[in-house]
Amino acid sequence: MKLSEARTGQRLCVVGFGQLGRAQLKLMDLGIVPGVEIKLLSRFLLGGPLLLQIGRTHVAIGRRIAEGILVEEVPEKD
Amino acid sequence: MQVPARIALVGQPNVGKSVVMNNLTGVGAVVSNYAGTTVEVTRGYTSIAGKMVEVIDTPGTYTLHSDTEEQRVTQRILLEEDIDLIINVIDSVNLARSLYLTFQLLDFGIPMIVAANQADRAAKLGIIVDASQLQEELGVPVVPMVATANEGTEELRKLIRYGGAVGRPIRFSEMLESTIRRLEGYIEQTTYSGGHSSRTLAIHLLEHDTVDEGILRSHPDLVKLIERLQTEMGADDPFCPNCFRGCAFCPAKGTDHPVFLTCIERTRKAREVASRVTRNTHRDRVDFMERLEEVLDHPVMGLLAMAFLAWASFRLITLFLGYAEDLVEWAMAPVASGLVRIIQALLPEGSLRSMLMESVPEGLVIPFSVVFPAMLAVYMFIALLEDTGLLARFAVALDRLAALFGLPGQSVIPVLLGFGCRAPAVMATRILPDRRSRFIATALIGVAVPCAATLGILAGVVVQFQANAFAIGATIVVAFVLIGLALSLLTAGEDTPLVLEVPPLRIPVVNNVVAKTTSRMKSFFLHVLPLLVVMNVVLRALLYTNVLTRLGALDPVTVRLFGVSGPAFAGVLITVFQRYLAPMVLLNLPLTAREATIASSMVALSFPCLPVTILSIRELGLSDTAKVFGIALLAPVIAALVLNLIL
Repeated sequence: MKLSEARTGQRLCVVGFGQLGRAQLKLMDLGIVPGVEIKLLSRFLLGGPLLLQIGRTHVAIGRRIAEGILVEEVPEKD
Repeated sequence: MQVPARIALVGQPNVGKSVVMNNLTGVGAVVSNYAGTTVEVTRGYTSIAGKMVEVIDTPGTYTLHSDTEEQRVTQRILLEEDIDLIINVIDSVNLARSLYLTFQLLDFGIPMIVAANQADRAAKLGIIVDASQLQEELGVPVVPMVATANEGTEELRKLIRYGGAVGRPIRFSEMLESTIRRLEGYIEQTTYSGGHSSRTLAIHLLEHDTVDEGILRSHPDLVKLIERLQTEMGADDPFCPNCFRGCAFCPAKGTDHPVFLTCIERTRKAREVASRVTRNTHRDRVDFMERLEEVLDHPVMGLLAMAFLAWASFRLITLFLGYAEDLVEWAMAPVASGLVRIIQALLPEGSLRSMLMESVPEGLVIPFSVVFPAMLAVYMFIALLEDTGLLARFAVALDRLAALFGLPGQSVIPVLLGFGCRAPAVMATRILPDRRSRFIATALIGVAVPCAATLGILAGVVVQFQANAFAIGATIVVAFVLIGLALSLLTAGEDTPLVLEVPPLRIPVVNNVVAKTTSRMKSFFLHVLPLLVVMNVVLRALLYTNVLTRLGALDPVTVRLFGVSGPAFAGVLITVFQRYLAPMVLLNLPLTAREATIASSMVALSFPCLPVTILSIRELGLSDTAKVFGIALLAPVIAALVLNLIL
């Protein structure tokens, strides 16, 4: 699914990218690459940005970027 | 081992690099623009084993591709400035991400020391970095630091004396390595001698680095090499012959995920090494700052909290200004009377003397009592916002609002800076991702953002003539919104969406805030103050010679259209040179409250001052700056016409 469709608090794994152009490089420099686990911390109102956690880093991304990041849900380990 | 002569500090944003710089060099460091760019580079000296060593603080950058000005400047410093030692400041909390840049630096083959900063925060979060194991992995000395508490600085100094070590660059997967080897072999056959090792150049070619494009242009045989490679590349090659990027699934080959192989492998290696050298102990507790972060990052509570914060700081600044003005005036009184006595003693009696006796002290006291506290308050406020990590949060929260103006959330930063001084604000538009948002931001800053100096003197005008402060404020806000909306509609292009690291909330280091504020205030004393004094003398001279009263001849036109007298209109025109000088003219004229309100509104909206104009031309070019001036011409005229009708 697209990251923009994920629920707040969900743990996700990045599996690929849509058509993002140069923005993809920026994401990758921040450590958002396929195979990495991220967590959706917060979504701002009215189509505002999404706040992600990658490792110990928090990154805010615009809604359109979130549509270009493909993720899968990571099942909770108990 | 010889003590290095020149050290470069390199690190990602938000790792505390500037604090490490401060600890090493103290207050003597000088901030300046890197030649031909707007990127600021700090240079200072430190004494190591009795030898003066130059330390260059490079701009913070996540990576060393040549995508942004910061990345290009950092690469150029490393390649062109005879750096003997790199101090790579990394964040112990975000080790995996930090090591990504560390690996790129290792490729340069320059001796290096790694400063693992923020060890205290890491420990609090239950992260323990094994420095000696990291040292083993990288092949360079590693020193744990808590720069904010000046811990580890002595250790770092000791290591600097021994010059660091050339580490071991990482090995990529065999598929990448074989291609790198092939490229290296070709490069070694050419005349290339541009500072990179052939391996580094090969990797950069794969990553399509633009600095290396520059190198290529000056080495024709390298260009031939590329042509040769392009013909050699077969269908099953992992690299696209179109661009040399390590695209595993290049669209040119029919699949849909263009991914930089080198980036992915470097990220994976960084994560591997990071997990090998860190131990996660049981963390004691979620600390107060993190709880606060949760509140601020909440979509609803965060917005409310930040609105409250903005209101509170505004109240605080106005309170501060109220007290500061009286205090400074009282403190300046002996200076002013001293100046009067000096002029009295030096000059013979006459109109020149009485003119100077009035204008020189006034030109000094007004900037100190009105402008100085305002600039101090705004600069301190901005430094605090930056150092607490709140500025980035404002940028995120306001992203949607800014989008209405065709701007990304980061524009909060240059616009806010504009309320301090608009010259650095225009330079800060560099952080915006595309030309369109840079243009809109520059236009808004140039026309609809009054700087602290202007606001300070306008406040003086309001007090003196009992002008309507609410009307002036409303005019600025309405103009800002209308210009933003109009430009967003009129300029073509999609807005670039936000990608921004949100740093953790921190308690600011007092030293760092003070250092930032003072270095920004310095330019006020050097450039603005002398101008204010000179202009005040010129103005007094104009008043004494009755030139301004003659402008009263313009009254019929200006009063009918704008509701202000001819001389006041002339005062508005003076803003072409320096906006905050205009209110100084107004202060010297007999105005009604209504006239003062309209004239002040016009001044708050008019032309960008000379420094801002020069910077705009440099950043945007002549034609876009001309457009900004067009807006600057229209905005105050329309505002005055409207105010003349409704007030």
